[in-house]
Amino acid sequence: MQADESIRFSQDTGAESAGTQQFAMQAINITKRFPGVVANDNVCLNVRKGEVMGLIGENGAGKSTLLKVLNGVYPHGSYTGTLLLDGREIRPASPNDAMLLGVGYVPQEINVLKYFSVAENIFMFDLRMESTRDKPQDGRPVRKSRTPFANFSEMFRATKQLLADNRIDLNPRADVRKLSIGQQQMLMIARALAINPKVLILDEPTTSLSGKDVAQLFMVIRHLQARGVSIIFVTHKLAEIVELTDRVTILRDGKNISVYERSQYNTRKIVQDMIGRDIAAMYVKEAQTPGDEVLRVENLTVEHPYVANRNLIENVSFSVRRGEILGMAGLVGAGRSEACMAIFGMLPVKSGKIFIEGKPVTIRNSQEAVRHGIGMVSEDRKKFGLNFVWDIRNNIGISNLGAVARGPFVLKSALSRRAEKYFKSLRVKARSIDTRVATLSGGNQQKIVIARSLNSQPKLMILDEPTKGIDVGSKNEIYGLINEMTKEGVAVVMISSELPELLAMSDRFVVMAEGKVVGELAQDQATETSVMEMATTTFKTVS
Amino acid sequence: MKKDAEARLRSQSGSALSRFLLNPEVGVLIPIVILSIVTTSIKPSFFTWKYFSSILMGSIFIGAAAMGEAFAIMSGEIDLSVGMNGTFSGVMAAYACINWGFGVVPTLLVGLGTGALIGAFNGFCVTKLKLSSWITTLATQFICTGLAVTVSDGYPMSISSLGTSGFTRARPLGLSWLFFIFIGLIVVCDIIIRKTKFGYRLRAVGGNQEFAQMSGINVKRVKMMVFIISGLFAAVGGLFDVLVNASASSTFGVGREFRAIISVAIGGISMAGGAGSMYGAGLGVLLFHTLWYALRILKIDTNLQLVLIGFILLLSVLLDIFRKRVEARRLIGG
Ligand SMILES: Nc1ncnc2c1ncn2[C@@H]1O[C@H](COP(=O)(O)OP(=O)(O)OP(=O)(O)O)[C@@H](O)[C@H]1O
Ligand SMILES: [Mg+2]
Repeated sequence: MQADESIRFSQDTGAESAGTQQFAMQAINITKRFPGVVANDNVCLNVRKGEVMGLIGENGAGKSTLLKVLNGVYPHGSYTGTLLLDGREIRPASPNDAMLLGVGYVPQEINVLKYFSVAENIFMFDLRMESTRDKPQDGRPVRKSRTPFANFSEMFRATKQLLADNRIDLNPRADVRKLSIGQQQMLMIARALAINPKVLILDEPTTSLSGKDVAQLFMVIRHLQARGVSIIFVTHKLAEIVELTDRVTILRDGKNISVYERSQYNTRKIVQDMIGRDIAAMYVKEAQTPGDEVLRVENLTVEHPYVANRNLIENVSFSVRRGEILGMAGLVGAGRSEACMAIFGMLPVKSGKIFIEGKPVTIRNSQEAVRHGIGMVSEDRKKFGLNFVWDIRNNIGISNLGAVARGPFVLKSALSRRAEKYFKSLRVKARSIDTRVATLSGGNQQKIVIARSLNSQPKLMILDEPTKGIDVGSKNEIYGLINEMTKEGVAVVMISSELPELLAMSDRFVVMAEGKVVGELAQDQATETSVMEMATTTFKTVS
Repeated sequence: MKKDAEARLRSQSGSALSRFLLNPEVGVLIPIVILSIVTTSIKPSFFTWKYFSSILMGSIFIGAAAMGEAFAIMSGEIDLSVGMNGTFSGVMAAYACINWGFGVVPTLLVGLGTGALIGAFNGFCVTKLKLSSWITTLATQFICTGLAVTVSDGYPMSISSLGTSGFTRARPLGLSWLFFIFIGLIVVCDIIIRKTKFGYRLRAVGGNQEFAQMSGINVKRVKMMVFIISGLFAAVGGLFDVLVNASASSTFGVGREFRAIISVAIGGISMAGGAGSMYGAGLGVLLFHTLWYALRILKIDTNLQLVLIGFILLLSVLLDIFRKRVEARRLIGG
């Protein structure tokens, strides 16, 4: 039934209309299979010249897979279907191929070279700068270099120009280690722009960006659009679809569901198409009466690891009680993650005190934090969240081997049962708990990270951007899970750059700016404006 | 119902034959079989129990070291001291027997204790002083060599007074008791790695150290344990030498660490850490030894032997990579 629909659908978005409209890029009837999964089932996607095409769908709907087909990560021959660029068929065999053809791609996961500068990251594919050096710049021809060496002066110049042309605010000489995640994301976009793409593919570029960075990114995108570049833009945030895109394509279970023109946008309909059902209320909040204090921090100070005489956070104090959700608000880079990382033993504390259930504790590393009953979902799931060698079962089960062991032996059946429980309640989209986490879609990987922390049954749960990259339906489920945690008396500290989410879920707020706590708000005092005002106060006094 | 789902799963992951061929242990078995067939066709006497049993019995020395190495590599580290640590442990055991008049059990315990102690020293340097395991264990390799020569004064040290020769010369089922002890150790190791809490923790640490720590695992303690275990197995290898030869010498285990590493690598233990099978490592040792014997039987010039060993080992690792690539292709559908 569904299949019939999608075939009919694919015909009228694909080949048929190709003759009548100017498409920059078209993907026609793409089918891509993995063992046991049809990730793309006869999917069509097209984008007109100078258009922003939104692509939206649940975790595991097949968005990234489709983009990887467009981009040659999955080479021609590993899928069925046709790709057209400017009306001509292309058969990219690798990302490099696609890049040379004019398809720029920014993958979902941050992927930068940490020990190099911004400029080197951007021009790593052409360190001798052969692509730009023969073109006359500022009226003067650039001297040709025939050496085998990298041409740094030209590289820095070209990077500066590229960044300025695209209004990206980065220093070409900056050390990538010192960039925030948001800046690293901008760097990845700059890298894709270095080849002057005709089509730019952005897979969830805004998941790690702050509001300010998102605004900048949108400006960059509009600027590109004005120059005739076509953009394919994946997001889980409907507001971004509404704000930025000209059309939107919706995928579900690897199939096309619908395409809407901007004039037809209706967020409720889009959500329905995405998840196949209606969501009654996005945020489900069940307030609990807070119990005893679980965590108190006093004057926590953490030094910057690379820059001398600078503190990441300074004199941070707050507390959380049983059954309470403490929302940490602030701009990205305000030090919220750092404060939580220090509590979890991931950053060394310079001074200050941490109390768990009233008793002072020293936490030197994460395993001590876990022993004190703290669980954490980190923002950086690639580095801290998953063991990619393993399947889902072990990734979830490892955080609480004691619960599934008899003596020194792990009982596999008990381990499976526990993993299965979270696998089901979080509705992870995968064949079974035997699936390797490396093959999961980004959002589903995030669910595994959450499941792992839940499995250790913590007293205090730190959630750093818990819904990062998670689709609307699953977000709703995660809020339900957070409620369940608080009902069982877990204290929750939550960081989110999605202010509406934070406002709806938290009982109390700590607002941070520039590494310091600038205020606390009760639930009835907190609104988007009052929080943002507080979060930006110090900036105002400084400038 | 459940059977149905299973059958479907199985059919989705390829034919029975391809699944069999993709099994890591089979990946090692294939070159062993090919090698045996080739050697037998040139020299039919290779295909006799006499040769086969001596290959099996001869593989226990590197085999024990390889077990220790497998632990180290699976946890994401390396132990370059498994050879000379064994040698020194053997020398210490012989010293205790000769100079202190120890009996069989205390003598063996001195050997094992020495190995564990050296392992603990490695572990201390890696976890507490935060040195790299490459540097640390390379240094202990030198230290052990020096100590072994010093203690033995460069001469073989006979332990015939222990009266163990009857035990080592016995041939139960045509093999040796030591061989069966070795097989028992492999089984135990496999159980430790796959079934115990420690095994899960070790593989978590090897797979992603940050992840392991976030999951509440005491990474340092796991690594400390790993180096102690590795040291113990080094000592087992050294003691096998001492028992079989009824004497200890500072020249016994030279170069054993690299043979152990190669065996483990061709046995399919991921050099990046986190994954592998102990049986695979055991078969890796067997492959290495079959090759060694085959070349000797074919009377190939000793220098040429080394060249051939090098190439054939590369070939078998390549075969394994090829096998993995086929597997990966099925995974990403490339
Ligand atoms: N290499 C792979 N091997 C096996 N299955 C895969 C592989 N890559 C993706 N899949 C599966 O294909 C499906 C689609 O995944 P994809 O990454 O395209 O989802 P997505 O729409 O990008 O989701 P998200 O919003 O979470 O990023 C998922 O069920 C995923 O598990
Ligand atoms: Mg994706």
